[in-house]
Amino acid sequence: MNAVEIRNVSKSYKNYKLSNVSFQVPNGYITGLIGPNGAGKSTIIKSIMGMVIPDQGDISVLGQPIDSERADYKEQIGYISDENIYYDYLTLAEMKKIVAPFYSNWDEDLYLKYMDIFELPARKKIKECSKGMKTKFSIALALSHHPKLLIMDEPTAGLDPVFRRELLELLADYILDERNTILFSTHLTTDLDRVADYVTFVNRGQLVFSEAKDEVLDRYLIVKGGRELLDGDIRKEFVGLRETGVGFEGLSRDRDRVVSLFGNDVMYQTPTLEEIMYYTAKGGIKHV
Amino acid sequence: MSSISLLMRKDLLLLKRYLWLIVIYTIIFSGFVQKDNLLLYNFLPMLLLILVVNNDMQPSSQQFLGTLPVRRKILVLSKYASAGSLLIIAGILGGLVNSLARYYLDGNMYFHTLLVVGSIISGLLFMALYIPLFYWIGPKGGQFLNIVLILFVMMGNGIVTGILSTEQTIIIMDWFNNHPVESGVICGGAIIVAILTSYVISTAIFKKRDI
Amino acid sequence: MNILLSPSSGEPIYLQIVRQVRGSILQGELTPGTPLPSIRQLAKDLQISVITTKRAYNELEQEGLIDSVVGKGSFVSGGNQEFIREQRLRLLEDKIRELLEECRNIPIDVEELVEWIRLVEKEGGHNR
Repeated sequence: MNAVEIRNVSKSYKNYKLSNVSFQVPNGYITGLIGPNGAGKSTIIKSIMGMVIPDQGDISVLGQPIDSERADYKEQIGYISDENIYYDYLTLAEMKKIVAPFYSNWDEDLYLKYMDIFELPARKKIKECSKGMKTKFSIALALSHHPKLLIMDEPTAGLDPVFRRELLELLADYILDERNTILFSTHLTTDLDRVADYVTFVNRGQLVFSEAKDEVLDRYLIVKGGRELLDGDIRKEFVGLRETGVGFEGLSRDRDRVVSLFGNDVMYQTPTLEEIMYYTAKGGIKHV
Repeated sequence: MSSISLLMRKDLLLLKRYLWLIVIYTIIFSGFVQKDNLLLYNFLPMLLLILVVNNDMQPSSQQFLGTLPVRRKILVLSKYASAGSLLIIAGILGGLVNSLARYYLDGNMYFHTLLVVGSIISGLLFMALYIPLFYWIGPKGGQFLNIVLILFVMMGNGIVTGILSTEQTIIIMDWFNNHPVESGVICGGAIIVAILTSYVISTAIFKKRDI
Repeated sequence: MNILLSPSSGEPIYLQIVRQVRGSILQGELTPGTPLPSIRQLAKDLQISVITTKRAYNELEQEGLIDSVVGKGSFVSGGNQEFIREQRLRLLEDKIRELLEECRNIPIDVEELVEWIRLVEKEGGHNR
């Protein structure tokens, strides 16, 4: 089963378009939604949350098709935004008082536990909290109603490395229960390199791929070698290429093919998600 | 609790920070300063209306509401419910405070029912205009809208006072006074139609809105 | 059992797990019937993905080193002592091949090597 299914979703804005995107978020796993800023990650996430209404396409969440008039499924979702969406003139305790009763599964003990772990001052006003505290608070709110699906929109942007590590730990804790699912959007892929099970990559409003991370990393390959090895046809083998005075570095989508092409004349390296993103976003072939 | 009552509770909690403003305002215009001041009867409900609608019209707050397991229709409906009930409460409160002031100053405790009902009716009609406009223009233009509407209400006060004292109005008022049931039905019907239309328009606008 | 991963080593993460668990089993550190951590627990502890961990366990299962029981988790396989012995012998064979390769490179002949092995054993044997 899939926690989220997105079929042929399109959405046009004045200067930007999400075109015909389809992918699934499998139940029980961590799916990373990656792409450069402005690639369409937020539009996709907001469409799942029913905040953005797509021009075309269908979205199902936890087995139910959604539209702008459905909202009950959100009770099963913990949503963490990249910006503060709470009334910042309230204290954390007051904000919690507003949020909690909307969820029938609200677990006050769990909430207090997170407030304690995160060392959050309940009586402090939200606007007086640091970015990290605000994110922690929204994680506490999101997890305290036992959601089946955790949706995070750039949660680690602006967080210090220590807490980013703690956050990954929390996610792993949450996913220990195999009924739970995480959809995690980010442009900081180092967070996902290890923990993500599936990776969905969007670039300029289009889907590049959506599959198991291990398969992606098995398929793509970084090749490093001398410039004399490159010619017009060879250049076409690469998704993206960086040529300098002292050699080239390129990303190939077909491991076996480039290995048979270059043999032992070059260095090979398994790419990181960031490298895949970089070369794909850079796109085409650049001559320096 | 139903979603609507939870949303109304939220509106009240958000209004708490303006409590001092409301109290000071009420005291100033309660009649200690000026007897039967329309700024109390008309303006206090308007003030509450504007505050309660503006409380969560910011884009970030709209997003927060979007994360809640509440249908958009209900989000809109709750705005009407909050604003409407606050208008009515404010109207009655204004009347009570004013009669207290009268008692203190003059020794008689007259409750100006006509003014209270009038302010509530005009408040509700105003709300029927204001909320869809706000949904239409959105929070960015909303500040501008507020200023325009406050000016409109202030000028409107003069006009209303003027209208209330013309002969035709007095005749109409007499009729209303002599036919309380019929006038109740007419006014009530008109308000219900206005608010329903307004609600349908607001929902139609908000349903298609990306937040 | 310890599992230590090095993401930058070039060896796929799941193979690192397979190699280390296999090592622990073949060396007898993990005895038959010993429960292994659940897939999700191990993924959490190693801060890696569930799929990667699953892949490692599948591989170990295919090698006959572990058994997975639905609802109970994974255990070191007990029914396969013969197989484990075989595997260990094969590992030994790999080392012998390595040794022979080195002998050819130096070069010394096999007789000399066998003599040497006997000598080391007589001295009390264990390395280091």
